[in-house]
Amino acid sequence: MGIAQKPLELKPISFPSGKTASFAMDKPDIDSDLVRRAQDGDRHAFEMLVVKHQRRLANVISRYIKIAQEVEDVTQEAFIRAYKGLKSFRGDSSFSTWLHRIGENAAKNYLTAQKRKLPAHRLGEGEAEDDWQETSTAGANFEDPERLLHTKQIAQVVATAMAALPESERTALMLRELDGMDYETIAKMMGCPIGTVRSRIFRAREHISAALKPLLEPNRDRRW
Amino acid sequence: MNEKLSDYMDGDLLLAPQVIDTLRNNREAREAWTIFHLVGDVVRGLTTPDDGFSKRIFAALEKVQIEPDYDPLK
Repeated sequence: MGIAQKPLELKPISFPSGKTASFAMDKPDIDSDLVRRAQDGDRHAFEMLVVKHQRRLANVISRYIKIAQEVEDVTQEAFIRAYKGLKSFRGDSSFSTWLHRIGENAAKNYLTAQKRKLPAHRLGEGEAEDDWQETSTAGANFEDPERLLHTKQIAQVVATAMAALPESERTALMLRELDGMDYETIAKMMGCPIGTVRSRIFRAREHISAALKPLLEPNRDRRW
Repeated sequence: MNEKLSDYMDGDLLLAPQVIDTLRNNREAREAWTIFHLVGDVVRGLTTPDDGFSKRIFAALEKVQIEPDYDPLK
């Protein structure tokens, strides 16, 4: 679960403005808003954060723990710790950085309890920042063939659906999801109004979601 | 509604009250929130946990309360 693979490889992105997509922008802080709501007692807001961050957190933990079921257990433990200690989050770092540190500590504690050695390639303390998606190449061992197949199918369906998108929609979604740009920056890069960026990203998500649903349908009643 | 959800995911905080309320009460919207994030994670190279994972976490969280003096980093 939550295992890092190579990001999807798609055609190079070209822009009418001739600019290149070589920088990432800060995201508006939805997480802080949801944390504040959760701190005020809205458990549902925290559940939204769980859905959003589960794979990223599992990926951090999988740098330390290699058994998929154990990664799930420790990921769950980290979310429980985060929820119990939500009042201690004051926004000094991003929520994801804070959550990933909790996950790393939970993984180390788990390994200590199991009297195992930390993997030789474990990351240093300074690498608990919000850069997990670019730096991680480690992953848990998917010992379950059915699960591995399902994971590969999902990646394949997304890649195929992305490739079938109009270039403008694919570009907008990639700039948003891969480069982390906000709508205003994407609009400047693509030479179009912000409203057009908004529509392109939404249509791209809808298209890919429609392609994914049949694959996820058998487990529909198990999801949130 | 899914278009507003997509906008909110990308930072339109003004939509927060409406989106959060809809997610609380609308299963289709929750599904969209889940799949939209799955799409983003797959694009970034992260694979998916099994489909029941977040639900198990929610079940575990039902037994947990926020503790004002608890330090999750210790």
